[in-house]
Amino acid sequence: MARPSLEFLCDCLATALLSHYGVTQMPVPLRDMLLAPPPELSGDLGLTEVTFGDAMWLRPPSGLASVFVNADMPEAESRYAMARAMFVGLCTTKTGRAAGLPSVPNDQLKAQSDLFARRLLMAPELLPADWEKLGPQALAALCGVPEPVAEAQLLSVSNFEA
Amino acid sequence: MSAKGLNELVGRACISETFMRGLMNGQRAELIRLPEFELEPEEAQALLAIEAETLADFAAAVEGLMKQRESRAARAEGPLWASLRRPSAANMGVYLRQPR
Repeated sequence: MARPSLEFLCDCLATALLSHYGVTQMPVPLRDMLLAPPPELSGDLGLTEVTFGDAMWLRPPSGLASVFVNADMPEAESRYAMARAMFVGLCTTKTGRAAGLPSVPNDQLKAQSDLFARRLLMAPELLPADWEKLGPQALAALCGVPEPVAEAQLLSVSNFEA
Repeated sequence: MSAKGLNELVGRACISETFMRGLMNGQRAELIRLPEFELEPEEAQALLAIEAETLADFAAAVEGLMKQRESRAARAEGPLWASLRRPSAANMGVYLRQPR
């Protein structure tokens, strides 16, 4: 079986999700996405607020899976953690497995979920043309992500241009 | 080439089993002509020609098509450096063209 790259699949997933929800501007409404997942993923994604941990995707014995997120977390940290947990959920779906998303858990899951979360929450098609000139704080505020995530994104672009 | 349309097509199959089944089981011609994908006729032809048993096979073939098209476009434009795929904030990549 041929296997597409994870970068390509993250591009595809983010594009399809943004289109499904009609997202045209930052910040990406991640909470709304999880509260009303695409119809055929309603048993695989959802959102449940708890008071422990950060965010994790779980399928309880009821069979209805959800992202469990700590309601006490700062919003930017919460959004990024939810996006990473959402990726785990997508990897477990029938369609996600069929597309070649990685099996979970695995040793690379942090890097894989980071890639998806950055692609979704910092979607290049929603960023202004000169986003590379923004500071980390401004980019983080625009996208609703933690400042270190924005900083890493800017650093990756400056390394690319160097 | 409509990179966005191709990404959206594969992405939709990743979030909808109905769409995935249609794409893999005889409804591909109908689905790829949906207006939201904005695919050009030659892109539609290329997608119809893909022989794939699984969605992963199909997705890998679409990724290959996109890379081929970008590579041809880069050769036509003649720069030394070209991006591997549509610029992505999450994933920037470059390759060095081989000298002719």
